[in-house]
Amino acid sequence: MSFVDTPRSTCALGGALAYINSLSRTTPIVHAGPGCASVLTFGQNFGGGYQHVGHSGGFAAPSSNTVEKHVVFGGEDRLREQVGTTLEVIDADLYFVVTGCTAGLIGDDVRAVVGEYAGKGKNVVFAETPGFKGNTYTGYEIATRALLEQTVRPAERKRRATVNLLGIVPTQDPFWQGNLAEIRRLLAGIGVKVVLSGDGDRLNAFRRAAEAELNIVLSPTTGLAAAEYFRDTHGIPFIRHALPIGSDTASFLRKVAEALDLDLRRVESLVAREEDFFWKHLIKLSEAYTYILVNREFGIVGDSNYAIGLTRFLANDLGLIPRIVILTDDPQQQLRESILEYFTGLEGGTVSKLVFEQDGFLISRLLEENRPDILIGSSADRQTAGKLFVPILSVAFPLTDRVALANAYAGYRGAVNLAEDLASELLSA
Amino acid sequence: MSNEQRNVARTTVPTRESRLNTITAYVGSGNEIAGKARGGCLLQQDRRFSQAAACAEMMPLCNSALIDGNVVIAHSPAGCSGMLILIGMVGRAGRLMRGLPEKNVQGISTNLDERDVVYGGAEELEKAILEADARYSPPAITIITSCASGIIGDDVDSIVRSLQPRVKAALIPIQCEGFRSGVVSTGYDAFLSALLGVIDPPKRKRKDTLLLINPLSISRPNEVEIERLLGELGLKAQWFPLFTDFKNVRNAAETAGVASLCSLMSNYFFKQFQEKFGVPYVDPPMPVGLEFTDWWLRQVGKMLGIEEKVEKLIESEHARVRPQIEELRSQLQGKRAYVGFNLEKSLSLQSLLTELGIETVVSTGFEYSDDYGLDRLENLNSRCGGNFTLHIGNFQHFEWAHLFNREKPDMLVGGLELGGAALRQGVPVAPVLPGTFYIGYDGAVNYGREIVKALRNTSYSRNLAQRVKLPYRASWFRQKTHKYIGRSES
Repeated sequence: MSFVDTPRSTCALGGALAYINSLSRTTPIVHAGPGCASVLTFGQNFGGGYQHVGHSGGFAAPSSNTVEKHVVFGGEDRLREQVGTTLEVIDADLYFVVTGCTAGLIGDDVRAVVGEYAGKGKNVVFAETPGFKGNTYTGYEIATRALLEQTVRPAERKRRATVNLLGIVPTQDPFWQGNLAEIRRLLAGIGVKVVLSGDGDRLNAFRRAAEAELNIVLSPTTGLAAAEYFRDTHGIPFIRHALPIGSDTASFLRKVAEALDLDLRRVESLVAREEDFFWKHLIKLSEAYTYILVNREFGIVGDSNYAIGLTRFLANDLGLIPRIVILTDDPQQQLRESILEYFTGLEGGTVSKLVFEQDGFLISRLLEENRPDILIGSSADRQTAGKLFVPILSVAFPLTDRVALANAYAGYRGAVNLAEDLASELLSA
Repeated sequence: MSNEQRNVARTTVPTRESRLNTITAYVGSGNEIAGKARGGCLLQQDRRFSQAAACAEMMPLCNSALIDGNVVIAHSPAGCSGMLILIGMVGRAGRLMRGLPEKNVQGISTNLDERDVVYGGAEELEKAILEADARYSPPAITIITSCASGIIGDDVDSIVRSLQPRVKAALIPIQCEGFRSGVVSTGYDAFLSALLGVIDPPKRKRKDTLLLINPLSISRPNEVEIERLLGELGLKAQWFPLFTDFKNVRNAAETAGVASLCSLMSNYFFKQFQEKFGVPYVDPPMPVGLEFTDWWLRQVGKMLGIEEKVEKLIESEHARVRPQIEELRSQLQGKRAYVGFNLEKSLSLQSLLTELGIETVVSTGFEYSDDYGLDRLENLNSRCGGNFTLHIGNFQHFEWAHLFNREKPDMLVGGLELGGAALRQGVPVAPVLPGTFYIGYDGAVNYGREIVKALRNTSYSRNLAQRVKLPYRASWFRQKTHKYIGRSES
């Protein structure tokens, strides 16, 4: 992999821990060097909107803290001891062993150690997530798939109109909790129940997750590992839709309804109600719009998922002009074409400059060469924006100048939040 | 000396465990630990249950990112440099307070992946170094090793040696694989020791200038207080190495002597610096509170032969601040505190708390070593009875939680590491954060006022504690705090 200036995610272990911290009564057991769990708390949790999350997250994360002697003689005995003592000390429903670089490189047989707990009434699972396996998104993919493989039970029957939500990476999307809440609210509005929601899922929900009729992957890049597992092992189909923001939400809801064969009248009536709310507030914006938003060319620096939703909302609903979009999540080559398709058919024409780039220096140079009037990016882009005198709203990881609690940018309500936050930023710039 | 001529020395430092018998696991009274230390039987034991801790890579990464203009290259997967995200915030505030222009910390990750760990990451590191030099023309580039780069055996020193003639920046390799040491300060040794390679032999001596090591948690207001006190003695301070122009790193050996605001950090560097450049050093405790500030000033005075001046300064400072300390004492007398930092900072804060009439019920130190622990500890034992609990642990939240629950202190005197944990257990925080002024005489008064303020409205922590569910089994709180330290008792 090429070196990266100012990385915009952490590592596979960071993604795995972010996912584990989103689960109910689940503790990680980190089998890694002494610094990993802390560094990733500072990096992934605090870097993603300064969030304290997790049943036993942050400094409470159990960790084997392997040092030189374990690197030389192997770390399996230490892991065995740590799993045993974690069961004694930590009160959890699920114990999730994840590994760092040292365990990965010295080749500790984690499967064997965890296997010793099989059939003993202890819920111990594992995933191999050394940092060098990839970025935060990759870690999420590995951890979700591993957890499903070790917990989901074959379903005796499907439950009508139930789904699993996949693909939103906690803290890597700093507004993950708010976004998922908005998606769940909208799905409830068309009569869809959620088994795995991606926020606060319990072990019991995993066991029953194959009862779902459909999986919804809320990302063009992430969540596929889990969706393919469900498809291949339990015959559950999946649909993919980028994080819907604004009027795109209608097409998302229709897609879900079609896949589940729901009453479309109910969907249309919800869409009408939601659009009433949405447009009521965008009408309210019109005087401020005239002052600060009209004719603005916008730039986006974010992962593929956010960039799609943001671009489509700003172009199709707010009538702004797409100047430059930089996709920072380094998606696999074979996914790139399908990502770019989301940027076609926009109101106001094509994006003048649309690129995949994760290197901070090159991102900065791209922005200088394609200066937008307003920028939505991460806190890492604030300095460049300042240099170019471009107002910036930071929403993407790393997010260090905002705290992310319940705020959301997905769906209809999220879009109104976005318009509100963006306009406020412009007024105060 | 030009970069071409500079001999890039092998940069591995001994671990604190092997050099100083530093320990990271113990719970006992102040008296017990001092007694064991005197008897030579305070030995490292492993924990059978442990949690998120700290590694030797953290401090080199974070500190070198704060050298003005330096670019940090983390030769690692991208997660290791994740801490730079948080350090960016500290850096932003630190620059603002010093009137430096706004600038992000500059970090590059070689982003080691599965291919690199098989075939080696040397090529990627070379590219990163050349590109960092071309992009930013920095005065220096520090190269930080990691568990992954260490285990796959990339020879960073020789890569750097071969590249140095091709780049303008001084290349500073730092060997700090995370697995090498469970003691975070081994990383300080690696960091400061690596800087020795770029300090020039002095062309002249500046007899009025004292070199002062500034750890990253010591923010500008504290430096100002030290500058004030040294100014009274006719001395100038040269801060090293954070938030300072790289030329002040280069010319560090021109100074008349060196002291530190955190001797835990500078312990190894001092010895090497003196050996290489003949600059004398003193190693007193962090100057917090009256007694420890006196201690600090007296040692500096002795090193520079200005003892009389120092005594006069101490006398006048005491006359000025004593009444203010007494006033604060009348408000704080009898309160009980939990103090939690690295050992150096914890014991120094504890000294100030004693002066303010506050009883320290628990002190947490992330590590213990006689070298920078024992004289301070014995001083405190004699002043506050030595029955307080001294908890030695590189973090270990379950032991903090146990002690908060057992002692129910009126406050935590702590920072980013223990702060949130305290609040969630209903303990208000008297914060020592990057930005808090607590060093020296005026800092003592200012921090006393901070404590008064911290106790004024405790509603947030009380509200949280009613709702937070800790992840521990109820049985954990009935065990002894040290249950998981050392071999099983059963």
